Formats: sequence, structure tokens, C-alpha cells
Amino acid sequence: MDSNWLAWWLVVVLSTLFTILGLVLRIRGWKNE
Amino acid sequence: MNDMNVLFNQFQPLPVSGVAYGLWATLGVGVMLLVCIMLGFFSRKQSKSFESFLSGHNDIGPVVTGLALGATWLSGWATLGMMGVTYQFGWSGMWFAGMWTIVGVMPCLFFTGEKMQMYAQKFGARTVSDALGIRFDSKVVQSLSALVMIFFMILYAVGQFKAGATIWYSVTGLQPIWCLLLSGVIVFIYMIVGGYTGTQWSLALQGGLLGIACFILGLVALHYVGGPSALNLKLAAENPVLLDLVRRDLPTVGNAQLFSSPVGIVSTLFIFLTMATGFPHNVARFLGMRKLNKKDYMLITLMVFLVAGPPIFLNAITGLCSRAVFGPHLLNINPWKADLAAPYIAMVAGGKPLTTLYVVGVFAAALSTLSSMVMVMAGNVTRDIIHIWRPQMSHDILLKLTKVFIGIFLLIPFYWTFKNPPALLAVFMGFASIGLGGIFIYCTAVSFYWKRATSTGAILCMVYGVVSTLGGSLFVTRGKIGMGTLEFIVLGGCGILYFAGSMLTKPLPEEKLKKLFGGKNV
Repeated sequence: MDSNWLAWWLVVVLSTLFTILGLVLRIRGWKNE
Repeated sequence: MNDMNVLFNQFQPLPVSGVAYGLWATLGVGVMLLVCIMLGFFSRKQSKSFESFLSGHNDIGPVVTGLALGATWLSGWATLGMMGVTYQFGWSGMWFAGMWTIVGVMPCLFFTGEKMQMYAQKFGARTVSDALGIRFDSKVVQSLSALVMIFFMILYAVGQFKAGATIWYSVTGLQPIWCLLLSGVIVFIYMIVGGYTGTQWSLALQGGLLGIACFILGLVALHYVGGPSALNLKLAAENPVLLDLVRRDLPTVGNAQLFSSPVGIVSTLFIFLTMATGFPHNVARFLGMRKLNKKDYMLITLMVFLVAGPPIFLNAITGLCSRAVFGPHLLNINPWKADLAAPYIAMVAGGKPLTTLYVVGVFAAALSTLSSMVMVMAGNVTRDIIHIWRPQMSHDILLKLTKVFIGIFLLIPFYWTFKNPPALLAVFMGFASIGLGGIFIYCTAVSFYWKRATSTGAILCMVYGVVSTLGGSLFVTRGKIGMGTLEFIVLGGCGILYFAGSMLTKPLPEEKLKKLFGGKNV
């Protein structure tokens, strides 16, 4: 795969993981409130 | 000369605009306006008081709020300007063309959503400045933040008018003046139907529309050029530097720094990270929201991701496809230039159906951002400047004044765009984003969590943010410093003054802090 497409996919995948991780942490924090 | 002919012959001729495209686009935008106007009339009955006009009834659910946040976050920059950036600079433009969209908007949702909802429900905050006034117990912070927001949002609003006008040019081929007037008329028709609740519902509809339009356009454009490998081959045939992720051939000062050096490229991450939370019209979405439970939270996150994620990742690709198809021709078309990249590729790759969908998507994005900004600006003047210093003024007069200011804040950017339209939309709007993001990431987001923050720190941060962005933008446009360097000067300086100013002055009394932060030690 070309390096520019690889970089594009990397940002897409990491952004998705960032969203999931943020949501999981936010929801887990709910129990303590 | 022969080489030039070969170069230009490898590209397709520009699409022919005309009556048929114009009619289709008018029909599409007309239907969207009609639905929005119906939503506005429906909500008008509900928002008769000054307070409910500004921020509704704290009863809006996660799906509508999530889609509306997506719509206000994404503007003419997202649906038109981003494609212009990758069209002009190639793959290196990707970083400034929205690739950090999710990194920006998710923290806005995670860190400010619930806090704003709490300030609205518990303390009656109706605007973002109102919430800041309550947080710092300071009328000066409330009014100053309102002024700062108005200043930067007028700049940002200019971009929305240009986006609307560019789209009319691409489908009708009319003179710039007519395109701008058409764009202005649509905005004014839309804004005459007021009311935050109606706006919130219209925003949600627009969020869905712009997401679908950009997503489909990206896929169709990529298919049209023959897929990922064919796209790169075509770009390389014109000029191999278009494939570079960092354009070392460009200057490392001015706005080109965002594409030419590691400092500039890293700065794009910070610009997006801070501006989503720094945009008051984004944060204001949570003022009318009801209290969320866990399931609601998952829903709102999903909605924001669907609108602000995949469609925007594809925007960078759409601009590259346009470059592969048309070559550098569009750069010679004044005053629209690279911003024509997306509408033209929509016309050749998808014909009238896709173009109509895309035109509706751009108007959905531009109108949603503009209307939410204008509402924030008008509310800032009446609620955060007039009302707090003249509390005896009747709410009826304040409501009427808000509507007058809606008109004024539409006319100012309209006149600006008319007199002096910005060259490349994304860069122009980038300056406003640097200012808003650099200031309000601290004054809003950090202050909601850091008890020690004081009004002095916030005021110093705001004053420095405005002065450094204004002064710095002059240095950037004259090629003395890079735009990425300016981002760090604004963000770093605002942070130093905010934290130092806060640490050197007395925080709010413990009792007041307990009310704002609860029993937790944050």
C-alpha cells in the first residue's frame, strides 16, 4: 500500500479507537457518580 | 510549450454549468429550506420567552443533539474548503483538511457536554458566556467572553457565505455578485424563522444531510478516478510532489507551513483539538439538552461519529480526485479557485443527482454553522452584555433586540464577503479557529474541571488570545512566520497567562466552588 494511503487509514483507525476508548472510559466513570 | 499541452490534455474539460444544474440545485435547496421552515414554525409556538428562544427547554434528546453538534462543527470549511486544500496541495493538505475531526469533536462531547447541561439546568445558563459568568462569578468575564466570541465568529461566518456563493457559481456559472446574493437570500429566508428549538431540529436534519452527501461524494469520486492506486498514479503523472505527505518544496513560513514542515503539520492536530471545544456554537448545543443516561451517551457518541467521522475522512480524498481529474485548472478561476474542487468533481462523476445532493449538503453545513453562530452572537449581546449590566430591561424588549441583532450579525459577514472574499476558505477560517480554540479550550473546558481557575486568569487569556491571533495573522500573511508557529504562540501564551494569572490570584470562595463542582476534589 502507498505510504499516503497507509497514513490515511492509520488516522481513520486510530480516530475510531479514540472514540471507542473515550466512550468506554466515560461510561465506566458513570458508576462512581 | 509542447509539454504544457501534453499536461493539460491529460485532464478532463471543466463541467458545463447551466440552467438544468441550477434548477436541480434550487429544487434541492428549496425542499430542504421548506422542511427547515416547517420545523421552525412548529417550534415557534414553544419558544415565546427570551430564555426559551435562546436555549430551548432542556428537553432535547441525544440523537438530535448529536446530529446537531455534527452540523455546527462541520461548516462550509468541511464540505467545500477541505477539498480545496487537498486539491491545491495534494496529500500534504490532508492534515489540515479535517483528518483530525474526531480527535477534535469527541473531547468536546466528552468533557464539556455534561458540564454545559449541568450549568443550564442547575444554574439557568442560557449562553456559553452566561455559563462562564457563573463559573467565575464575574460579569466582566461574561461580557468580555461574549465580545471575543463575536469577534472571531464574524470571521468564521464570512466563510459560510463564500461557501454558498461558490456552490452557486459551480452549478449556474453566474457572476460572483449574483452567486453571493443568492447565497445571502437563502440564509436570510432561513434565519427569519427563529427559535433555538427549531434551529436544533433543523441542525439535526442538516447534520444528517451533510454527512450523507460528503460520504457518497467521496466514494463516487474515488470510483470515478479508478480507485486508490489509480488516484496516486494520476497525481504522480501531473507532479510527484502531490503524493508527498510533507511538501518540502513549499515555504516553511506563511500558511504553506501547514503543509511543508513537521511544526506546521503537528499544529494542525492542535488546531482541530482545541477548536471543537473552543467553538461556542458547538458547546452551546448542550444547553438545551436533557440529562443523559448511559444509553443516551452511547447514542450521542455514535451520531457525532457518523456525521463527523467517515464523511469528513473522505473529503480529503474527494479533493485529491478532483486534482487528478482537472489538474491545476481550477486555480485560475477567480475568485473561487481551489474551492471549486468538490462541486466540479460532483458534476462530472455523479451528474445532476449527486450534484443536487452535494449542493444541499453544503448549504446544510453552511446554514447550520451560520445560524448557530448568529444565534450565539445575538444572545451574547442581549444576554451577556445588555441584560447583565441593565437587568431592569424587560424580557420582551430583550427578545426583540435579539432578533434585531440576528439581522445585524448576518449583514456584517455578508458585506465583508461581498467586498473582499477570502482566497482559500480553509486558511481564512483557520485564523478564527486558532483564536477561538486557543482561548476557550482553557476558559471553557479547563475551567469546568480546574477549581483554581480565576477570572483574572481567564481575562488575561482572552486579551492575549485576541491580540496574538490578530497580530500573528499579519505576520503569517506577510510571510514572516508560519501559521503552525502562530497556533503554538497563541495556544502556549494563552495557557501560560491563564494558569499563571489564576495561580497568582484568589480563587472563588470554597462555598461557591462546592456548588459549582460538587464535593469532588478536582
